[in-house]
Amino acid sequence: MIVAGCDLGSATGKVVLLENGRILAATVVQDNITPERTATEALKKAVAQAKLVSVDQIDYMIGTGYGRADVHFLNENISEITCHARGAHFLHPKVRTVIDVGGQDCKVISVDETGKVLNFAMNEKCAAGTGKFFEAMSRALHCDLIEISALALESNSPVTITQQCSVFAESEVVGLLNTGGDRRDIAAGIHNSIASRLYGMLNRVGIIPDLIFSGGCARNNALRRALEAKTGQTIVQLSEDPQIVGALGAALFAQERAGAALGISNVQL
Amino acid sequence: MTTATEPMMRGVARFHEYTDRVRGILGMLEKSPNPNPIQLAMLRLLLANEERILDCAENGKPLASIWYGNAPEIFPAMGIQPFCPFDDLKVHLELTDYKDLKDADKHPLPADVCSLIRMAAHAVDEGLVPTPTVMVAMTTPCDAQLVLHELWTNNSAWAKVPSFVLDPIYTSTPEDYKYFAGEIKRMIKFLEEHTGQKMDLDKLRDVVKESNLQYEVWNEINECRRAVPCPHPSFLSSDLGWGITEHFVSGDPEGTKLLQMILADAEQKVKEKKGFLPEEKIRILWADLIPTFTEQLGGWLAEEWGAVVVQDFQGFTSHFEPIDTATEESMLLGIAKRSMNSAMIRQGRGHVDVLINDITRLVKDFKIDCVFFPGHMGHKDQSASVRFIRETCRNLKVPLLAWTSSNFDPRYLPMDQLKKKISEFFEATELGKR
Repeated sequence: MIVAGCDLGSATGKVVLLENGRILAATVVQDNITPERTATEALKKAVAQAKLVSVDQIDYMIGTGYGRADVHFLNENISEITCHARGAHFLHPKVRTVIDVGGQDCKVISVDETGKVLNFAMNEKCAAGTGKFFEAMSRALHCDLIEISALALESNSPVTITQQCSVFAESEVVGLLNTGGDRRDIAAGIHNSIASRLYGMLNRVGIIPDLIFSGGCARNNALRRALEAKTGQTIVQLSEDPQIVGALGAALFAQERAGAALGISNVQL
Repeated sequence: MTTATEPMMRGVARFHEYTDRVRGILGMLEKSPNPNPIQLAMLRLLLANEERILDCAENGKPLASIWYGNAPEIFPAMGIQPFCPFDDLKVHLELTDYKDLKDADKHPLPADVCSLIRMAAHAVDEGLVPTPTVMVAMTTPCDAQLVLHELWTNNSAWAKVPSFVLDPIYTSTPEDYKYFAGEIKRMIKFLEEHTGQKMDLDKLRDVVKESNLQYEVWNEINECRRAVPCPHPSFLSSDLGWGITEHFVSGDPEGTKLLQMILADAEQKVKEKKGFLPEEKIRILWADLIPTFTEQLGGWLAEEWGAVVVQDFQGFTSHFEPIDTATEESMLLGIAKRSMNSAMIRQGRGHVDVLINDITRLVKDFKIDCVFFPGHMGHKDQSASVRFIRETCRNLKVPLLAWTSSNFDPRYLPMDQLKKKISEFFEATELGKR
C-alpha cells in the first residue's frame, strides 16, 4: 500500500510517499501559483523519484498546510500542527517540543510521548520569525538565504536588532549598513532577534526536551545555533530533511486511515 | 452619610426599565404554549430581586452594595437588601445589544482594566444603580475590585456612603478561617451601626439552613454533570447555582426550588443515559469564571464540535461543607469558610497549589478531555500562573488551550476569532476527529 502526504505551504509544496512505513520519496517544490498546481507538481516529482508508473498507484492522500483545502484530489485534510507533531515523533520518538519555522508562519508545538499535540503557540499574523522575514533581511544585506546564515556564523560580535517587524527591521539593517556595520554582525543580530521571538513562543508552551526544529528555516544553521544559545538546549538533528516533517506526518496519517479503510489493523509504521 | 430614611433616587429609572423588561419577557413566556419552567422560575427570581432593590431605592430601606463572596447570608438575616452594582447590568447586556458595555468605553479608566470593573465604575458614575446605605468590599478576589470601591467613593453621590472592607487571610488554615469569621463579626457591627438593623440569629439560622440546602442541591447537579454524556448544556449549573447562592438574596426558598427542578431533570437524564448532545465528543474544563457570552459560545461548541463545557471554577462545589447552625460562632465560621472558597477568591488567594489541585481534581472527576484557560485580561494573577496550569495539564495528559480574552467583553477577542482558535485546537489535538 502506497500513501502520500502533501504539505502545501505558502512558499513550497512538499510530498512524502510511504510504503509500509518506509519513505519511498520526498520532494520539495517551489509554490506554483495555486496549491493544486503545486501539489500536482510535487506529487509527479515524487512518483518519478519512487519509480512509480503513475499517481494512480497511490492508495490514499492526505493534505496539510495552509493550501490544503484547495486541492480537490486529496482524500482528506489534517491540520499542519497535528502533522508536524506526528512527523517529528516518527523521526525522533523522544521529541516533546517541535519548533516549526515555515515561509509564512512559525509555531511551537508541545507533544506527548505518543506524538499527540498537548499545546501550541502560533505566529500567523506577521512575517517576523518566518522565511519571509529572512528573505527581506537577505535583500537588505544583498545576499541570499544560504549566505545570510553563513555570514551570521562568522560573526564574533553580533549587533542588537531592536525591531522584529520585517518592515522596521529592514530599515534598521539598512541604517546599520550605512553607518559601517559589519554584515556578519548584522546577520548574527538578525538571527538572534528571531531566536528571541521564538523563545517567547517556546515559553508559552514550555521548553521540554527533546527539541526538534522543522520547516524550511530549520536548514538555517545560524538560526539553530541562536536558538540553542537562547534556550540552553541542544536541538536534535533529524535524519531526514526538516522541511518534509509536515508532509511525513500527513503520510503517516494517510497510512493509518488507508489501513482502517481497507480493514487492515496494526499497520506497522 | 445616606441614612435609611433618605430616599435614594439614583438608579431608579434604570431599575424600572429592568423590571418592565423582565415582566414583559415573563408575560410572553407565560403565554407561550410550552413555557420552560426553569426559565420562568429564573426570571421570577430576577424580577423579585430587582423589585426589592427598587423598593429600597424608592422607600429609603437599607441597601448594601456588596461583591460576591462577601458573606451573603448575613444581609437577609439583618433585613438588608444586598446588590452588586455589576449584576443587573450584566443580566441585561444581551437583551440590550451590549449598550452599557459600549457606553462604558467612555469611562476614563485605562484600557487594560477588567471589563467588568469598567462597567461597574460606569454604572455608579452614570447613576445606573441606586446609592446604597452602606458599601462592603473584600481585599480579594482582585486588586481592581478593591480599587473600584475606592473609585466609587470619589463619586459625589457615593462619597459619603460608609464602607467596610473584609480582609481574608492569604492562606486557608483553621486559624485563618477563625480570623475571617472575626472579620464578618466586625462587619455585622458596622452594618448595625450604619443601617440601624440588628442581627437576628434565628433568622440567620434559617437563611444558613436554606443556603446549606442550596449548596447541597447545586453539588448534586454538579455530580450529575460528571456523567458521560453530560445531561445539561455548557455552563448551565454554574450560571444558575452561582446566581442563586451569590447574587440573589441568600437562602431564598424560591432559589432552592429552582435548583431542585434542575436537579430532578439532570437525575432523570442521567438515569436514562441521555445527554444534552445526541453524541457528546469533547468534554471541556473552563478554568476560570464563566464568560457573559455563555449561550453563544456554548451553542456553537455543541453544534460545531459536539463539545460541552462540563465544569468551570464557578461550578466547582465539591469542596463546600454544610455550615453548622448550632451556634453563632459555628455559623460565622462556616460562612467564613464558604466565602473564602468562592470561585476566584479561592484560586486567586494563597498558593498556586490550590489552582493546581483544583484543576487536577476537576479533570479527573469530570472526565475532562481538554482544558480551556481563557486568560481573562482582568485576571492577571491567574495569567501569571499559566505555566503551572500548562505543567499540570501535561502531567494529566490533557491538552490545554490558553488564550487572552475578556470574560465580560466579547469585543476583546471577537467571537469569530475565538471560534477559529478553538477549531484549530480541536483539529490539532485530534479531539474533533472522535
